[in-house]
Amino acid sequence: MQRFLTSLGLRQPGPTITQQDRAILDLKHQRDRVKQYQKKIQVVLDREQEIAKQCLRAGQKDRALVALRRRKYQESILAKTDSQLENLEQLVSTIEFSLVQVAVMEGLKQGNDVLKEIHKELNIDNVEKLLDETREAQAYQREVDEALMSQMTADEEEAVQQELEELVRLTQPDVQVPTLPEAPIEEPVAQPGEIEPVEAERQPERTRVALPA
Amino acid sequence: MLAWLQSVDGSIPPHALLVAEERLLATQNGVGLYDNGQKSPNHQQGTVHVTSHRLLYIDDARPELCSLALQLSTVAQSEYYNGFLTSSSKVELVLNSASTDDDDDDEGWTCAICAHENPRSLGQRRTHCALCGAVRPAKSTSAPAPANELQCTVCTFINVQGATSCEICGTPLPLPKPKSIPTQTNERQTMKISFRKGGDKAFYAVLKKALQAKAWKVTQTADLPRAEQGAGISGILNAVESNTSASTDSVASALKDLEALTAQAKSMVALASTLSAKLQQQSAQSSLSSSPSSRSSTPLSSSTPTPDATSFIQRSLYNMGLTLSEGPVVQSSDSNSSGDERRYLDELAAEVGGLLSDGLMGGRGMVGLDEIWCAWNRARGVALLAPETFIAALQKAITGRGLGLGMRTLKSGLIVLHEPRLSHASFCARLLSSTPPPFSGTVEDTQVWHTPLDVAAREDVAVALAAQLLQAAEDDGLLWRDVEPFGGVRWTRNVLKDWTWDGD
Amino acid sequence: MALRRRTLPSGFTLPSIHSLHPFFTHQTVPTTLAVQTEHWTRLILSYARHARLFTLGVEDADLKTGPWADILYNPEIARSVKPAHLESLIATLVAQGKAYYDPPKQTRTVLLLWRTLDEWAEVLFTWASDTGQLNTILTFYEIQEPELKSELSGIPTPLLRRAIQALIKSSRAQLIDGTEGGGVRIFASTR
Repeated sequence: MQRFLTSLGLRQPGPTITQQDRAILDLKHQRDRVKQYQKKIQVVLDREQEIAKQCLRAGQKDRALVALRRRKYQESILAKTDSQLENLEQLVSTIEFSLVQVAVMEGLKQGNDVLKEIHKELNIDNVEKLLDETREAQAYQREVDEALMSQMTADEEEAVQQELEELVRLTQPDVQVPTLPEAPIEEPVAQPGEIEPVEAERQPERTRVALPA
Repeated sequence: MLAWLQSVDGSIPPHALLVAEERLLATQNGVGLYDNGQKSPNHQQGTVHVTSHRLLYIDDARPELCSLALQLSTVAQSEYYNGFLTSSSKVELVLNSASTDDDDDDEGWTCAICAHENPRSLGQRRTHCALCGAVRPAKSTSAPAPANELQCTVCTFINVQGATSCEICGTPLPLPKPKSIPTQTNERQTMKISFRKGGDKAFYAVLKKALQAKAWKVTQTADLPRAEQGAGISGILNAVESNTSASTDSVASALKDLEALTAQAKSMVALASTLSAKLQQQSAQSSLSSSPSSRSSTPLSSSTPTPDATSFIQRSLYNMGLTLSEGPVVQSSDSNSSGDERRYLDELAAEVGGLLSDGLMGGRGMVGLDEIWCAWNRARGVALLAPETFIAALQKAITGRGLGLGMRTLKSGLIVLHEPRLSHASFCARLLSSTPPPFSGTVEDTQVWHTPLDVAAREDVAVALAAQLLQAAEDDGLLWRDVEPFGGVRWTRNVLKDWTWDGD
Repeated sequence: MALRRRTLPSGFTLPSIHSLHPFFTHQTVPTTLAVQTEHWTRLILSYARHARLFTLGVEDADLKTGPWADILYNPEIARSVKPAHLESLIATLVAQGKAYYDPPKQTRTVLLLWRTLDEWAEVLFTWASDTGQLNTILTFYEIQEPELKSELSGIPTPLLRRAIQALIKSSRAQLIDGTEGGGVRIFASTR
């Protein structure tokens, strides 16, 4: 319906235009006016400079001075308007920012509400009950398995064990004999410096070994 | 006696007694009549009227019995006697030998052609009818009565002499009248009018005037218009007749002038033909041999005209219309069938073809049909051609006779006759070949532009025609125009149609 | 009368036919006139796109200076387009849909559409989203004279309004009437 009316041009799409929107628009208009005024001042300024240059070229120093003075005055106005512009723009941006904040607040609130709804669905007692039931079911399943396992005879158990060993042997040749380093031929000659720290090390090791239980 | 006087009915008022041209002049009462010097007993108290033709005496007592009329033509002399004591003044009239010439007294007659009743005229016998002017048949043919034989008055059968009654109808025949009418031819008769109540002098003066005027002797042609003044239809018809007679007179005189002029023209045409023959001879000779010696030996020793002069003379002859020695081709009046018309058109086409090859176009490449029409009509002189016939004949001449000319209708509606070099195709080809393409070089090429003036100069046509030819080429898409800032227009080759976009 | 291309100082290359005198004359023969009009309209639109000119009026003809003088006047051959000719060219542009009379109900000035209105709407939307100005209130002046030169700089207000209308039709903008002037808020489509 909305779209139909919009396509006919009878209604504008989008959210309704609030008073705040209109206020923002007016502020922006003001800002635009100041900007336009600034442009005009700039134009006048440049022209005065041009006049000053011409007068200097023509040798009319006093007239050049007058022009320059005028230019100075324009510049001061420009500066003032600049500050006013700043004010306006600050105000505009503040308003926009606060609108954004309001939007964020809205969003948070909505999210909160949604979460609450979800939580209503998610009851703790129901969850615990569900977990207990699951555990019971698992235990039951184990008992069922054991009961099924005791049915098997000792012979069958042996045969199964033998099959297992065969499988292991089959897989074992694949395992390669690791290459061992060459065994020393000569008796090692112990150096005196090394023996004592080793012994010292052994003792704290014994003590260290004793501690973990 | 007063026997020759006619008796009239006096009870009728006098102005009613008057016949056609008679006019009442004077009246006098209290008169008496004397016959040969003796009082006429029956005519002593009455009124006498004098008219232009007669003298009337109306008796007072018995007007219808004793009134008399006297033709003034019979009066030879008149005299006037003054009154003396008891006798009153008298006027004496001497009558000449009474002639019963009936020719002087005309009875009314009916015209056989128009049945108009011509009235009595007291003058000369009327020879023509007053209304239609038909000739009155002679008296001798109307009722001839041979003297020896008796004619019955009822059935006009001519009986033998001595018959007492008519053999056919039985009416008793009258006794044969003696031939001679008893007249006293040798004696002169006199008559007197006695004025007992005066008024004699004035009456006598009027009578004398009437006798002198002799109105009975006026010719008939003068009677005609006088009598018909004021008559309605006859007046109109008369006026018409006089108008037509006047116009025929003037036409006759004009035709006489025209005949004189054509006689002159014939001599002029003969002169012109000899002149043109000599010119042709001249041009033939000069084209054959170019040496000056041969030129000097030509018969025309006075001047050797240049070719320009020759053509000028020929053109002037055409303009004066003196070249068709055989006369113009005219459509015979009894030709109604299409075959005759076709033949007529063929002859016309032959004529115009001959004229065109002789140079009717005057050396120009393109001529409008109006000029050709005027020139041809001037050459013809008489029997001018209507535009439709002209166009038909011209088309026939062009298509049939191989003149090499073309007829073309320009966009403005003007139809022109042109030489083959000025046909649309050849003109455009020539125009474009003289234009170097503008792609070459950066030098401004002045030959690129075509204006009506230089096209007219180059192609030897009229400027207006040149403009129309350029327009025709533009309409074909071969040229496009440039309008200069102050309004002049010039044309150049159209490169737009083959050009492709090469900008941004 | 040499046929050559000329490049303007602004970098625009004029087609070679622009150097021919008759190109500036309103032709009378219909076939020639059709071809001529086609080339002129193309030239006008492409120059407008290059120089970012939005309006064209009959009074721009016969001027030696001005924004259109480079196109409508050729000083080398001293020929310019006459006002009557320009009026007919404008009429052709309007008939083709490449321009429209603005202000309406007259035939002398037009707004040129060297971008269609839909294209302008897209450009506007893209600019708004690129500068992060979706869902913010914007004044027309902000769009027309931004700090940074954009595709939309200098766009005349009537054209901008029409582009916004196009956006409204596709549910992407809404017009806001402030007390001082117009504003617009552009957002992503709600569809």
